[in-house]
Amino acid sequence: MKKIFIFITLLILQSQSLFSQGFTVADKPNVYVYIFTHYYNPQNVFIKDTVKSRDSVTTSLQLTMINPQVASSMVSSALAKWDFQVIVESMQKRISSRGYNGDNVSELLKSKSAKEADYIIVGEFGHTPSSLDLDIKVYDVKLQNFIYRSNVKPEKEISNYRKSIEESIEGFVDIVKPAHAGYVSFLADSLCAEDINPNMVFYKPAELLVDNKLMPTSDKLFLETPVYMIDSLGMSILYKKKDASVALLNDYKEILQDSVKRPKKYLIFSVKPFWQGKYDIRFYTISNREINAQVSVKAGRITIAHLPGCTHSMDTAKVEPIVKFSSGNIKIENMINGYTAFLSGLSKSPAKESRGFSGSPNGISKPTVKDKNYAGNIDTIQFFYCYNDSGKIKYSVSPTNDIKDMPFSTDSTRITVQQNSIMIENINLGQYLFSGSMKGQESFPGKLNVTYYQYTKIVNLTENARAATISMIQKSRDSAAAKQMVVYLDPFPDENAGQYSLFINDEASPFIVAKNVGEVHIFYNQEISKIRGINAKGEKSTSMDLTTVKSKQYGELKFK
Amino acid sequence: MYIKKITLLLIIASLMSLIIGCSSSKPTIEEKPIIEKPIAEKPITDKPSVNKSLMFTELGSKIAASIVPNFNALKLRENLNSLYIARVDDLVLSGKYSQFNSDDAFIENGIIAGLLNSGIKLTEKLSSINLRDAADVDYNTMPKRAFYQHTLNLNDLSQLKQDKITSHVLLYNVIKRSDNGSGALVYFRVIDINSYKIVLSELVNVNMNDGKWEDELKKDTKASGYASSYQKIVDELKKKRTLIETIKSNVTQCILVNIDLLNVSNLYKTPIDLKSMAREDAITTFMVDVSKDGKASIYEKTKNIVFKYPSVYKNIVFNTNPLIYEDWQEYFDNIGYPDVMFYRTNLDSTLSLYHVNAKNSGEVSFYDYTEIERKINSTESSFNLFSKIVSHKMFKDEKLLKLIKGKRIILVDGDGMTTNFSSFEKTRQLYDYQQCAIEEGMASAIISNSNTTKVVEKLKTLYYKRDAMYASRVFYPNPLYLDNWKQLKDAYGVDLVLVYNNTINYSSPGDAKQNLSKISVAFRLIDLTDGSILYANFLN
Repeated sequence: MKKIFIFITLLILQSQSLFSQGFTVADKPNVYVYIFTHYYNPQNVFIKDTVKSRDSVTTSLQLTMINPQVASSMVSSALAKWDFQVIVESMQKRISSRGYNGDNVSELLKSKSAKEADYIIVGEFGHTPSSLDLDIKVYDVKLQNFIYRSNVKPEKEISNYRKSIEESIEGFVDIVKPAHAGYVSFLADSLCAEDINPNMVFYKPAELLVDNKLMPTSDKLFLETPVYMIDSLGMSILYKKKDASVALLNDYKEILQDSVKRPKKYLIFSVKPFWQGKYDIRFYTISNREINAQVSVKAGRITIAHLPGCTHSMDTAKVEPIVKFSSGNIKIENMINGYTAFLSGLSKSPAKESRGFSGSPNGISKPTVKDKNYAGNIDTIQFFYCYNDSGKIKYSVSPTNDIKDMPFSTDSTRITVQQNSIMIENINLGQYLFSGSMKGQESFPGKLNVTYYQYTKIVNLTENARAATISMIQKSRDSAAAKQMVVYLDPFPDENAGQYSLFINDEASPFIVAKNVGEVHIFYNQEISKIRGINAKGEKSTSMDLTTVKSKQYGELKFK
Repeated sequence: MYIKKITLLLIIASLMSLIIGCSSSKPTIEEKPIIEKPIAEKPITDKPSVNKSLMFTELGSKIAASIVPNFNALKLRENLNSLYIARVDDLVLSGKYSQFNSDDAFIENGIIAGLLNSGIKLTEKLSSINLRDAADVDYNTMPKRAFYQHTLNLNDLSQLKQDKITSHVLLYNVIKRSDNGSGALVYFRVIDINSYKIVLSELVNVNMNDGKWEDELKKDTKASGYASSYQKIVDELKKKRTLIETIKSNVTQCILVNIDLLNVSNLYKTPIDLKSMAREDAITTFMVDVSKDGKASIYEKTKNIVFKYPSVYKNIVFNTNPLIYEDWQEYFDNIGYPDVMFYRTNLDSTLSLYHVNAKNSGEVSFYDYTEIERKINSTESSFNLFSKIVSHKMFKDEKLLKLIKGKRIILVDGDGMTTNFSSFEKTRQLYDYQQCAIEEGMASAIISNSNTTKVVEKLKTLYYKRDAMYASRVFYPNPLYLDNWKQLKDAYGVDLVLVYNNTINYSSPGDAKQNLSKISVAFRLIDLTDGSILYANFLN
């Protein structure tokens, strides 16, 4: 049966209901909300406001009192919207050091209730009219450390105040999401995908803990969930609300792009993450037929399941880590001091093309590669450069030094520097040309040994080989391919020591500055046709021509 | 068969003379030899007389007859297949031939006839063998090239050996020949083209017994000088039984390299001329004679052997070998022979000769000085003096012998470098053969007194400290520019260094005012393992 590409987007807009915005309910984190009040007036805090007089000249401060209990409940409500389990909501006096009967926070944190929580929200109001902010801190019980802090300023309108609290809590949610939530997606072939009613997708936790026993849940707990459906080209279909982050959307696109070569199918996935745990998902077709599925969500991962009865020709489902199927990683290791490396692209990635990226013609260069697999005459785009500068690896990317603008990058491309190695993660699959060079020096009294070595290699990132490691050659001096040039200088041409800048070929910058040496030994493996020099007086030397035949040559630089 | 060939040649010669005779004035047998006329007066077609062609042919035959006994003596016939004859003359000096004429053709014809007559097979020169590029035998290049390179094109020779008919090349140099065919001085060299081993080296002086040749030769100072130098060297070296046995014991496959004063004055101070050819030809003859019982073979210099750049010597330790290579293994990898015989023929006509084993990282097995012409204060005298004094004063000390037993040692001249380098720099400009003889005399004493101690020929550049490195430092530091002793030990493969300081400035040989019986030398022997001074002495 011929599979066709169709675009269907299923999106169920959630109302402003309590659960429409939040996570699915399963193994949700427990939160202990703990709000302090100030000790002058434990009952009220003030919301500052300034009011202009009728003559618009003078202003006066108008204070509106707000019950701290209300503020506390706003915090709890905001947490509940994200389906956190609020186990305690507590109002306390402020920590007192002036003889009031205040509570000790550290003692509180050791309490039984606190120990049952995953997180403790500690909120504290300012105690003077000039400082009425609500300071929210989140304490991670497992880490035994505060992980989040936010500040809510007094607002004129109470609705704005609620909104500020909700935004503050949203920041906390973003931090804890990876540790507790994952995403769910379903693969479906085109026949099924056509039939799915995008407005009728429901979820519920498969089990709940009741009296310390896991009990299956009833259908009454089904809740609607907004979903996307995307096709193999990564185009989203009819989603009405951009709730998911762009990065997440791209994750799913790339999962589906992996299937480009396989029978065409679609991916239906949740907009929001699910708390880790087991869920029942119910789809309805347009003809009202039920399709039930059960998935196990793992924190920090995308669970890909097959829509039952809809994926006859597909592979079995598996839990996939969040990986970029159309991208790969290149690691460059043994980048010791003096080493430099370049990466150029030898081909254009389909991923980039699909987004309309045609590659930058910036800095096209023809590599000299002896790799037998390299056919030559392929345009290259040099986009990455790194070097070890006194033990630290530094890098730059072209054309704008922004990783996102770098050719062959994806939206999740990143560069990680480690000890003597650098990793470029999530770049497009394709063929790359690696070019590394080493310029090392060591000296013996009166002599300078310089290693000027270049190493090139074709690196292929494919679906089956998404990671490549390139190890810089360590002992290039010992390499059979290395040539040697011995350049004799007059180390002491006059009373002062001789200092010489030596240049390779027609390069404008010297590759070495030699001082107090009578000879420079250059170990190299690439094409060098001549060496020339400039002495301390600025006099230029005659050019010393190198032949390509000899593996070791001797020469002398004469200065005019 | 050979008689037939000679007869055929005579017939051809006769026919030619008849043809020529018809167009010229009628000669008679009694007619006196033709007096050489100026070229301008010669007819365009210079056709030699029958007599002249016969004379030169006979001369050639007699030349061949002079060299044939050497084939027998050296048992060359066993390995000889066919010989390719090549006249090389002084290509070694100039890279190009002088002008030839038909007389030279007849001489070669005579040589061919003579060799054929003795039963030696020869290859007709159908395939063209080119001369080696003149640039390869140019000794005025920078850096300097080793003297006496092989002068035929090596690629062409390898083509020749592929036919598997020709096994050897006979190179001959007509140093001088009489224009009337009364005599010739010719140097021969036979080379095995498979290995470039020199299997025959001989100078022949052929006199056709008309009494004119010897006078003619005497008048030509260059040619007679060649003959004289050659013969003296051969005669003197052949007398040295100990040297011969030492060579047989230590040398396997060697080349000869004239290093002269290249590492001192950056020049061939003894000029490269016919006489220098004579000296190397003579040493070659000596070596071929030594090698006749299968040991100590000598080979043609076919590879381009180059010396260090002159500017290098200003700053490196005195008497470092002038070859450009950084270590002896590199030399061996490039040149292919494990042994090198270095020689100098000092201006005072002393021949100094020493052997370096490149495969044993530059160990010197002997130094030898031979006086060719007697002169006052010769370098032989200096060499012998220092060798004797050092042997007598230092190496009778059992403790010292123990310290150096089984060690590798280099000698370092530290003259005048107590507080600065610049005073040495000035003195060094006056250095010549004498200073080489002094150091080699001391080295020879070490070799002869301790057969387990190896003197290493300095090849890798080793720099002296400069003035700035003496400033603000404790008095009288070691003159070497090193960070630590391990650098010298590891880079040069030696265990000990002997630093010597001559307090007397020895001048050029032949200087009658210089009393070379005086010695005033301070020594320090340093262990490179930890820099400890093992021995210190003062000889006077």
